[in-house]
Amino acid sequence: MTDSILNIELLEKSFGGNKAVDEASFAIERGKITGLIGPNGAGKTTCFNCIAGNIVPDNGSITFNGDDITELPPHKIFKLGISRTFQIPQELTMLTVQENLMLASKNQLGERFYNNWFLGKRIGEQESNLQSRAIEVLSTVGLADKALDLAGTLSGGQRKLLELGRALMEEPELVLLDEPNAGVNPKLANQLVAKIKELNKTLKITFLIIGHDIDVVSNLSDRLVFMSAGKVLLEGSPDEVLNSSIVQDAYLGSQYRE
Amino acid sequence: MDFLIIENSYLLLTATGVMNWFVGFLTTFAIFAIMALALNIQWGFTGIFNFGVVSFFMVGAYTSALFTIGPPGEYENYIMGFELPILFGWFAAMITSGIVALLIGLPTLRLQRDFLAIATIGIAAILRAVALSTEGFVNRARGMNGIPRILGDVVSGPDYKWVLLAITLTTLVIVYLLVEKITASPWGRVLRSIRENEETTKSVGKDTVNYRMQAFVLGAMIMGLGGAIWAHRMTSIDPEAFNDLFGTFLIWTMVMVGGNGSNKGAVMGAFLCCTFWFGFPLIQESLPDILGNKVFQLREISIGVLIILFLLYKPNGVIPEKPKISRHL
Ligand SMILES: Nc1ncnc2c1ncn2[C@@H]1O[C@H](COP(=O)(O)OP(=O)(O)OP(=O)(O)O)[C@@H](O)[C@H]1O
Ligand SMILES: [Mg+2]
Repeated sequence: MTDSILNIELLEKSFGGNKAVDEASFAIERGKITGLIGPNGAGKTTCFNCIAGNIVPDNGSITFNGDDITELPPHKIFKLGISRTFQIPQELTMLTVQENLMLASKNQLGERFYNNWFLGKRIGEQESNLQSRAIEVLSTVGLADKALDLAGTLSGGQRKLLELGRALMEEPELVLLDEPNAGVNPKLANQLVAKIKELNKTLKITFLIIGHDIDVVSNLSDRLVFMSAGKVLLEGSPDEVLNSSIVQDAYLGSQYRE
Repeated sequence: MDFLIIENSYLLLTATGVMNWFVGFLTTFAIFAIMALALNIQWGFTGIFNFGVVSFFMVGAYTSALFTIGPPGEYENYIMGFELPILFGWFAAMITSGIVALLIGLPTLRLQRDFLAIATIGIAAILRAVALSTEGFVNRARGMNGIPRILGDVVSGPDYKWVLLAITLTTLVIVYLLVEKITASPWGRVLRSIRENEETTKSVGKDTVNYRMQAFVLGAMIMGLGGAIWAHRMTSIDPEAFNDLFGTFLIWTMVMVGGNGSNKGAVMGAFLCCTFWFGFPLIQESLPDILGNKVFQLREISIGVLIILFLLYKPNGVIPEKPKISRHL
């Protein structure tokens, strides 16, 4: 039996009459990198939003490490060890790049109102450790020299990188990446792929990655989940999934046919 | 009463008159600056729409008055009148304003932002109506009179105004330093990030509803303090005096002119707006009668125009928020 970290069962979410996610079920194996692929509007991002608690599904259940997290709010899900990026970057414009990352750390003494009056010194130490950590993460996503700039001054691609950095700040158990490579230059994109593989190997972080760049996603992923029109149509190894006629017809198009 | 002095230009004819005006002006400024710092925590840092600043101003003023004033006389009808020390009144004012904020916040802060805005506008009107119409509560329209002065039993006569000025300015400095300290902390960083993007802030593990409540209550407590000082400075207060223009709109103007999210800006905004607001009537003498008679209406129109100009040409205020805020780094 495989050990799954996240189980999604018969998940449903409609917007008006539009079934964005329609009885989707799949599982994510612990310690693996799973790719979530499918046409535009297939419901991939909506799945992410349900997992991370940003929207509450109409039906179905999501379990993380055996606990039901279906109805939990985002901040509790984050504290359990799931972090996410947004497809459309959601940076904190008037905060510095470094602060955008520092914010994403759990258990900060200084985030409690009353601690600030009594524990100034320890908070100071924690802050400088946090700053070093932020700089370290920023170097891996190639933003170290932007640390002190306001996030609102970053370019589109840099904002995607900031999203990724924020999700990696805490070394969570499960990371959900929504098109991490979109708009990122090829060289850096390759470095990020290597970094994700490394984090997966060394720290055993599980990844669920949405992507349209099939070469990247299949290279990166141990498994693929294919969604279309809100349904999960196929799960399996990259070879299995990409060579199936369903995926080729509905998603890849004829040039992928051998 | 020194507040009235600064609203009357003819008293400026003598040297003492000018000095009295100026001391009264600075005292008023200090109290408004405290209010602006409080609103800046709510709106400037956290993005909370509190359009009922005057509610907390009023609650603070009445609470401190009721705790420190003597028992009601023959023609008066109000509760309490405990004759407690004024510091106790201030403390009670902050606690009561905080509780009122908590009660408003509980049902509204978890909803969309606009709900709180509507609720706060409503509460201000309700509080005024309750104060005006409830017999045996706060003496209705007659108001509370004979509220004790701060250190009034120690100093009296023409020197008193200096004591009052020293006390209000000292309180302002203390409030400023405490607010500066807490907003430049990781706690303040969470508030700013809620203002920027609440969804992201949730997604990195912050219970944003809880933080918004903390900011709302803290701001309300400081507004309550401002109201308390106001009550002891005026020595009499009545519900009509706490109108939206004076107690909410003017303070919003201060924060916007000064710079959202900047504590220095809030103080500077308070100074500029007070100068405009209380200085404006002084031009009455030099205006032709037809305008001079309408100097207060003219002032309202002018400040409206000024705000629009500010929003257009200086949207970040005169002292904008600095990129580097943390006091730990
Ligand atoms: N907040 C929303 N309100 C209304 N409809 C929505 C909302 N979010 C998503 N949808 C709809 O749900 C469907 C699935 O959207 P989703 O964003 O999950 O697609 P996706 O698979 O991530 O697509 P893409 O690859 O283009 O990012 C779409 O038809 C979309 O219009
Ligand atoms: Mg998407």
